[in-house]
Amino acid sequence: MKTMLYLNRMDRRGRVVESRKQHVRSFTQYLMELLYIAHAQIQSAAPRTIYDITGGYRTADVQSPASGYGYRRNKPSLLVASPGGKSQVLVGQVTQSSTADTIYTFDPGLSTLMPGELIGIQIGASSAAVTPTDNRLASRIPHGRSAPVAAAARQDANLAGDTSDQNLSSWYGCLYVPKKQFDLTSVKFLLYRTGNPGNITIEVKTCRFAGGTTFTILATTTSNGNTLPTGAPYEWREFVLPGPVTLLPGVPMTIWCQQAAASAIMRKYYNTSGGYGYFLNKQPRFGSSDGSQYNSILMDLYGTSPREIEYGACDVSGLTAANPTAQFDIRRLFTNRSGGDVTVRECGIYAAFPDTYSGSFCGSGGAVCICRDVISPDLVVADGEVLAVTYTPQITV
Amino acid sequence: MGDKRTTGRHRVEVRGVTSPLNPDHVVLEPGEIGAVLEWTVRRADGTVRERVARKAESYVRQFLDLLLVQMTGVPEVCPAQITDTSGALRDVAASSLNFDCAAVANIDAYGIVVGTGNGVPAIGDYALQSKIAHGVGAGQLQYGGVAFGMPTSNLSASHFTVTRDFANGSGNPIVVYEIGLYVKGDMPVLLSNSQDRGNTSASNPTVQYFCTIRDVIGAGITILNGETLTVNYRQECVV
Repeated sequence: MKTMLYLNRMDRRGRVVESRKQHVRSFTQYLMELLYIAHAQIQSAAPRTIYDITGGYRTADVQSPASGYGYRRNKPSLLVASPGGKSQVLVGQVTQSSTADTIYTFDPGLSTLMPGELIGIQIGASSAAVTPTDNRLASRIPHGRSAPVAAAARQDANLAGDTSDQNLSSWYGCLYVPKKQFDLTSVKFLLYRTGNPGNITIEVKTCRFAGGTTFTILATTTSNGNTLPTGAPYEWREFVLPGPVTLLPGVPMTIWCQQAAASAIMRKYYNTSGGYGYFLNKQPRFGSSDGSQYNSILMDLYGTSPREIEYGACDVSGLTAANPTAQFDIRRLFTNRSGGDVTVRECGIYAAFPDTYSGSFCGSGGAVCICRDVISPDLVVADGEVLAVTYTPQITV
Repeated sequence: MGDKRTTGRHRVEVRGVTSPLNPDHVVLEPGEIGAVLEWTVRRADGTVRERVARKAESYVRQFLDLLLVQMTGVPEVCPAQITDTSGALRDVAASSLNFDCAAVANIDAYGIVVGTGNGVPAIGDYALQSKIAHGVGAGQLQYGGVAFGMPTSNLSASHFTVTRDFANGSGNPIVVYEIGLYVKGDMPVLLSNSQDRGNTSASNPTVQYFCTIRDVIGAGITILNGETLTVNYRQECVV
């Protein structure tokens, strides 16, 4: 099977002003992984470990929970079709209740939800050479209309309303869900000490919504806790990461820290009457169960973000067969309303998969990069222009 | 003093026709997704009589059909229609069962299959021209279980392998002219006046079989009585 890649840049009136065509060079190991998992019917007892678009590992298989009336083994692996932008995509298996005619599909769990922009054709700004093990675009351009933030600046924050202390004798932080993509460069927590805690270590880890499960450390660093103040007004201690970590919209990430010795204290909001914090972080406590749903830690996130472009729907259609060939199209439109030029140097395809289920839990949605290509020379999409990217896989007997 | 102990290791000896290629020598073009077809014929004593590797040429339409079903996430309420190995159009929706070719021994309905037809492959081929059935009767081969080599990568390629043995206990030589891969497709079953599904459990799947690869071996592969044919399909993509 060979695949053609068509790149058509159109002006505001829809006229094609630039048209390119090249052979796709770079299907990755992760396409083989998903095909292998399907062909061999890999089960959850011995799932495949694969790296998803966060750069962290996940486990994948085809197995469904054994219970559930009317379940249909529908784990939507290899899903590429997607609505645009922030539109909801259900990536995961939803079981049907044992009660006839009662279904849960219209109230899916958080773990099965992904934004449409993360599934299907992607574009990016890096010209790094392609390898078979590329697990994501090297510098993905996110969905949206914003201009870039080149110097590290506040990207998200929960700055006030702290009512309580949290000792950092065990890992503590939050499951943070970004609302938009950005490159995290440093994290500030509101801290103080009552003893000499030594170094405080922070980790940024991939994770899933359910069960507080964490997977891969994407960044870690330390700060000397012995120099923290011993009381109010506390200190917004900054942990500068050794390198930026790309956080993706809607994809949960664990950001937490722990003291080396005794008595480092993190400030948090504690709501005894229930409900989640107003900051989009959930399940802030790990390794303990008390009050876990009622805490919201104070956190200040800094980073940079690239210029955005609006992701339209990713369409998979048009299968035609005329001996000796058959082909179909995968197509997506990208509209630049960012106020400046967007320079495209790479493109690829992200395919969704649900990870391994556990018990009655049906697996979290994720995505892998099945294809990545470098575009040369640079393709510049001016403000107001539309870029149409089409992959056409073709087989010939 | 040297250690002169020996172990009862098996010896693999090639005494017969071999191709100058092994699967690593069969090169797909950059950007291509394809399969490398390798077959080995072993005598009853385990020695190799024939070993050939070549580029498989013939993904057929159903491969793209099933890929499109998965990539689109075709729902069961409006399934796609795909031609199965009997020539019938079947409703197929996205499912974990699609592409399943992990057939156990004695099952010739899916997995790697072999046949005696030598018609030129066409994109619309939905089955082998003349599949050899499992068994020890005249013209039959004993189908082993399908095995897999797990995905790996090197600097330029990624691949995984599907493997199956075919043992000739028929009493006479059999010549294989075609090799294919049959996989499962999952057919939704909707019930009237209910939101429940007809296929309610793993023990009651409603699957049909679909041909995704068909290759023709012009010169044929002769398997003498007592010999075993091993077929490897190495599915591969190259950057």
